[in-house]
Amino acid sequence: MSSDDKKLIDEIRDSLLDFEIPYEEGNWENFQKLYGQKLDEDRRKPTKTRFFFWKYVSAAVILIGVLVYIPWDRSGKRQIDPESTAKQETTSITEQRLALPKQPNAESVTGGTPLRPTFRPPEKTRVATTYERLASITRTIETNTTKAQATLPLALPAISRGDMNLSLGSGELVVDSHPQEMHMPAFSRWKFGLEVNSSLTGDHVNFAAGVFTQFDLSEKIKLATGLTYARVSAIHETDPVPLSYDTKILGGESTIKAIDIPLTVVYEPADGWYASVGVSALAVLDERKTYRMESEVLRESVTIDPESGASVAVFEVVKTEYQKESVDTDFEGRGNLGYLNLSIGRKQRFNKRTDMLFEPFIKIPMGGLQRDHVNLFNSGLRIKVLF
Amino acid sequence: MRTDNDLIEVLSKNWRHIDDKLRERIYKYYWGYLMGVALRYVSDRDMACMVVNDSFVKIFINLNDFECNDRANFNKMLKGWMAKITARTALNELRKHKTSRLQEPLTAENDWRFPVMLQDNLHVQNMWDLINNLAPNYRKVFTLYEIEGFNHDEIAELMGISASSSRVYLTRAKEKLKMLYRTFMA
Repeated sequence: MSSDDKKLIDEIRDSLLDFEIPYEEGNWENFQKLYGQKLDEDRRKPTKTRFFFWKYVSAAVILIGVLVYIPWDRSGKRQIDPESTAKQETTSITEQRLALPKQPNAESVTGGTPLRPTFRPPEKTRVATTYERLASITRTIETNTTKAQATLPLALPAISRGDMNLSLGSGELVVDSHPQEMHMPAFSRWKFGLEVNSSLTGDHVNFAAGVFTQFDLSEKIKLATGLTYARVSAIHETDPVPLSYDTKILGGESTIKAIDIPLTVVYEPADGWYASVGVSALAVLDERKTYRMESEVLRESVTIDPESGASVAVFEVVKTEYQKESVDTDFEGRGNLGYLNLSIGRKQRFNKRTDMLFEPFIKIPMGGLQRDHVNLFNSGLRIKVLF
Repeated sequence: MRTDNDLIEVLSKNWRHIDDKLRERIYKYYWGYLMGVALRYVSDRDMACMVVNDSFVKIFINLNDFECNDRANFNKMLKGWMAKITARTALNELRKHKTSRLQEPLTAENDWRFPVMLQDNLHVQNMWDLINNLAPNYRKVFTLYEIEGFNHDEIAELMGISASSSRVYLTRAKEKLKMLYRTFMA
């Protein structure tokens, strides 16, 4: 290139580089009108994301707090009315006593020294059959009162004193007869654990890991919640959208990093097997959305014609598929994102204190996650360790 | 009344935290410059205006990411950064409106080479006449390379062409400019 050629290009470049047109009044007002809201939204976005995140965490904490301090009827702190319990227990003993075969030398216990059995919350219990318990009561009472010698059938099994905590002192009969679970302290009905899960959205693999806690409402029904960090893929199922004559969008996908906070009701009808249903709230921390694009490029190559020796341009259309990151997001900073969670599972005792849970699950998008063209449905296997 | 220098000084000290008032001043100060950038790619003035507004949205959103270690050249660097955003936005807009077509096949003019005798004072309008008469892809490659400072690999990515095609387009754009110059200035 000659110096004049270069000078021309430099001149063009410098002229265009410094080219400005004067500001036209009203443009800022138009800009504010058209884009002001978008800018404000963007400014609020980090705050909004943080708000959603803390909203869900607070909800989980409050829920756990409520469950810990709520005065559940089945907790060991319940005060039992001694009078009413004693009456019930006496009736029960009497009724069952009548069913025993009469022994010739035996007098009715109730016909002897009046006893005022009083029940107090037990410290230890064993499960005994009603018949065994009654036999033990009868034997002990009759030995101590010396009013009668109750002769029990020889076939009765030997029962140790440790099986029933029955004592008679100052005319009071103290019987510990509540089943063990009735006296379980509240904290012992809390279990904590770790979980990992892997699932599929289409052919994309998702991962999640977190902690959870489970509260035993009853033998068969449990309430579980937790905090899980999840990486989920969302597949955009759209028809190809032409952007220009040579480029079109084939589809897309989003990778979402989120905190998943589930609330689940677990029903355990049989020992070791359970089913659960629940909802979870999703606080999206980060979203990366990419479009799958296809571009048709007109590629040229210059070859020499062997006959004439002239340069010949050969054009060919080359299709290229590539991914392009999008600046906009579908879920980040938005509320009302949730899943409906369904699962069944098998609990396997690992050692004295640890259970392993294997749980196939499905997660069905709800609320803001439910979009026509975005597939967030996923299913997989969850493995939990419960301490 | 605060001056433009005052604006640049304020910005250079803390461009990451701007309020609405400062935002308005930035918009008004750089609007004309970004319109100039947009008009290099799109001929339609309304579309250029839309490109500039879209660019300002991106600029305001991403101003936190702008890095400047040379305070003395803050304005120059900021303008360069803004121009690149505007160029990308304009190219995306062109893609959407399907106006990008390769209109220049290889013709005999490829062999057309002659030295240009440059006149001393080229008017800006003449420059625009020259640029506007380039085929769209030549014009884009020329402005992206010579004015915005993108390299051929970046241009290839932006335009969806190969880097070698970008080089070819640039060479042809320059040849065409020389030819146009001779025609207009004759």
